[in-house]
Amino acid sequence: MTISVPEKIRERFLDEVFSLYSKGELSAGRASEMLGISRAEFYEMLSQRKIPLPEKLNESILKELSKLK
Amino acid sequence: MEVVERGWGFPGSFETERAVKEDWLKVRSIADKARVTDLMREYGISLGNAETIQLAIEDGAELALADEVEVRNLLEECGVKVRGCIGVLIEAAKKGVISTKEAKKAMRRLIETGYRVSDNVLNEAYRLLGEQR
Repeated sequence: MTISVPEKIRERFLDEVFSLYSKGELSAGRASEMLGISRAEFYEMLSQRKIPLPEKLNESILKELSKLK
Repeated sequence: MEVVERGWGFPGSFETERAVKEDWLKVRSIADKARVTDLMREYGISLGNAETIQLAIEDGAELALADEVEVRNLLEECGVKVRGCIGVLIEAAKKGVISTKEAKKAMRRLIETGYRVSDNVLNEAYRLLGEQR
């Protein structure tokens, strides 16, 4: 079954996906799967909207860097 | 360990194919594909991330490349060392594979293309490179 989704609903859905992503509740991989796009395309959308990485990921990277010698 | 989608327009896919031809990168198949589906359901993670974990376990990988929290944490729980894109760039610069300038340029490019790390991360990365921002 195919349903055509009004633009407004599509935008709200996208906003929700980006909000969950930035809260760290949805990974980039899961989000792009849900949107039916590649991870590269998802990152491109993040870049257009200047959405930062989730804080949990920043912390994880800092932890990784602290082990680099 | 890297999972790349094949085809034009997917960053990395062309480079990956070349690396395979030059024989320093090997394409591996997952033996237990059912386990991948289980991992996706169990942890609510994406296909690519579940494949990364399963392959790391099957191959007894010492280190895996991963840039998302859900997969980084699970890999660490499995005893696999994790490296993200920023960490790879710093290590490459420290080993002299690329210059400090190239590492910084690549980091700026990552941020421009949507991998927007925090100022804290960027400052720490620059510090490790022995550079001021």
